[in-house]
Amino acid sequence: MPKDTQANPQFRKEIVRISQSDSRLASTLEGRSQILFTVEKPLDRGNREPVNHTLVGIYDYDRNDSVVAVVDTDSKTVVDVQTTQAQFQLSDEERAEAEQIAGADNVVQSVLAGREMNPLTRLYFPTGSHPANHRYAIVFIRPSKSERWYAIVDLTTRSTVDIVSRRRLAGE
Amino acid sequence: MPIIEQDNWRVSFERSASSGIRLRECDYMGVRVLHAAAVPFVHVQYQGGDIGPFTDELRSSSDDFEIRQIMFGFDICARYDLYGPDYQYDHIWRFHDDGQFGSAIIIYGPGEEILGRHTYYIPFRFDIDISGASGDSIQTRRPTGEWVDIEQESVSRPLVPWAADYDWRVIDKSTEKSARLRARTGDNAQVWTLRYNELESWSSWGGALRSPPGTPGSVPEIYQTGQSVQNTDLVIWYIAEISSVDRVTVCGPWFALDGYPTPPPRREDPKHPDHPHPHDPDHPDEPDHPHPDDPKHPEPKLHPDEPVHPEPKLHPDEPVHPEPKLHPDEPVHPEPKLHPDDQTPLTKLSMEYLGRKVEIEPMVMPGEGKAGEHGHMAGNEPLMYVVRVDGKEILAHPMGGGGFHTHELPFVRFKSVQALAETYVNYLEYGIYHGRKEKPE
Repeated sequence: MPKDTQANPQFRKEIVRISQSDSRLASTLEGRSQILFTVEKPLDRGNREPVNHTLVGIYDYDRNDSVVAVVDTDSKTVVDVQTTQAQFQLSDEERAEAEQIAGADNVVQSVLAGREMNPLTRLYFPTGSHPANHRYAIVFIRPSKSERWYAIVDLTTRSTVDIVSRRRLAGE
Repeated sequence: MPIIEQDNWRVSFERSASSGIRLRECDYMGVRVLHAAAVPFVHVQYQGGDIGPFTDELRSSSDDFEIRQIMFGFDICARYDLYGPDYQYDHIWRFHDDGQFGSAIIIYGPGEEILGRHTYYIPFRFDIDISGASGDSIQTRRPTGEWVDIEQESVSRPLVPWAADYDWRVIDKSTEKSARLRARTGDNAQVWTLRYNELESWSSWGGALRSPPGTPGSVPEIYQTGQSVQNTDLVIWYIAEISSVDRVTVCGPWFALDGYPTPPPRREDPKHPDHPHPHDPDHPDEPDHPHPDDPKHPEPKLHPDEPVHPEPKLHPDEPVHPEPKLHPDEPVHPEPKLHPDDQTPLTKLSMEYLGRKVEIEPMVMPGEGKAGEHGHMAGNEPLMYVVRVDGKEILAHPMGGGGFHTHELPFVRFKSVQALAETYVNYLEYGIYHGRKEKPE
């Protein structure tokens, strides 16, 4: 089942319910997936008539796909589903999960030495041998004003794949 | 969704989860300019190390934003400070009353390293709809100043990067309305023109790829399919590439509109009095255009559902909307000011009331018509008058027993034709006519 994010949980619950009833989205939402955003689309293109369409951004971890669906909240149907190469920004849940994974890493615990992690987390794109089609986060570890470490977290495999120093990040 | 109506603009905007303040539909002088605009994310790329890029979201630690009044326009300002001062961005959407507008991101940085070894790629996406979604064409400016069509989806750079020239324009050739675009000096800018498609539009919600925006395999290049960018629905991606060497840095494109309806003159312009609202055939029903100095429109008009400014803090005992204090006998709307002598006019009479030109013209003299046969008065005075107010005509009749009436304002006996005319002006102005004085005595 998908995890949800952002405000108005009742509205989002309804969007998820409608999406689950669509055959194109059912398998995505039944597997490991994350709803990244829902956006109301108040006006249709080319005319001034209001429409009640909502864009839903989903990350399908089983297929490593970004999926976007258009849900008509009047007819309670999914009117379009497409995948895109682009990765949308992390949801709050993904951010929290990445920080939890990083915080559990032995190297991170060692550099923290009991200090607060004070994390900041962004969507990350890997280099080298890391599978390019996975979804990643970079967790900035900030135990002091100037000390920095960076945990690269593979959200697809739910593992920390690298710990990077500030000098290495900056190429110094 | 907040809406600002000010300085000849109507701007809809919203705050999003990861791409900050986004514009929705924007009109200038009642004519569409933008369907949407956004800065989806910031792509940060480090050089020298073996670390991949990441994206900064444009997020704030609070929901605050500011509508800032400036000379000849206004700004919508937001501070994206979720990551703290080392990674802060400020965002300004600026609109001028002459149709210029633009977006600027201020990069505070530099964050992780201070030797200038990382680069910010900032994509600005403009879903431009010049006087409507379709029929737009992209052109570029030759060194001679001539505008030439760009035929297919493509990318281009400024002709002279350090010059303040408008190098592109999106034009609706059927209406001759256009938006010129220029790059900010120092942005190392690319301008991509694509035909709109829905999948591409979804990238505006923060869709990023490993490669920096503007490079192969990234936005917007992955949506380029070689389609024509003439007479169609266009999207402009402006990519600023900013080295961390320069700090604090600002980037972002600037637009100027041409061919749109002429705005009302500013009050500072001595050639024009306060009133003129030039007629434009493109929008004959143009509403009253607010001007910042106009006391009738002292504040930007916001959508009632979502006030931009917080509610004023009132004393607990103070009513939120105090009733206007009127004298018990004081009418809300002014009573008609009667013509000085109120005598029944026997010849054409012109006067002015509430700024409107009023004409009263006797039309049917006794013996010329049959108005008297159905209860209207007879005698030596005219049996019918035409009352003209700003070109609108109504007929007025004298009544048996004195006074006048008109079928346009039924059930009311007026003391004089002048009072009837003035009440008709009140009716046009305020939509009411049942004042005390007009009731039969």
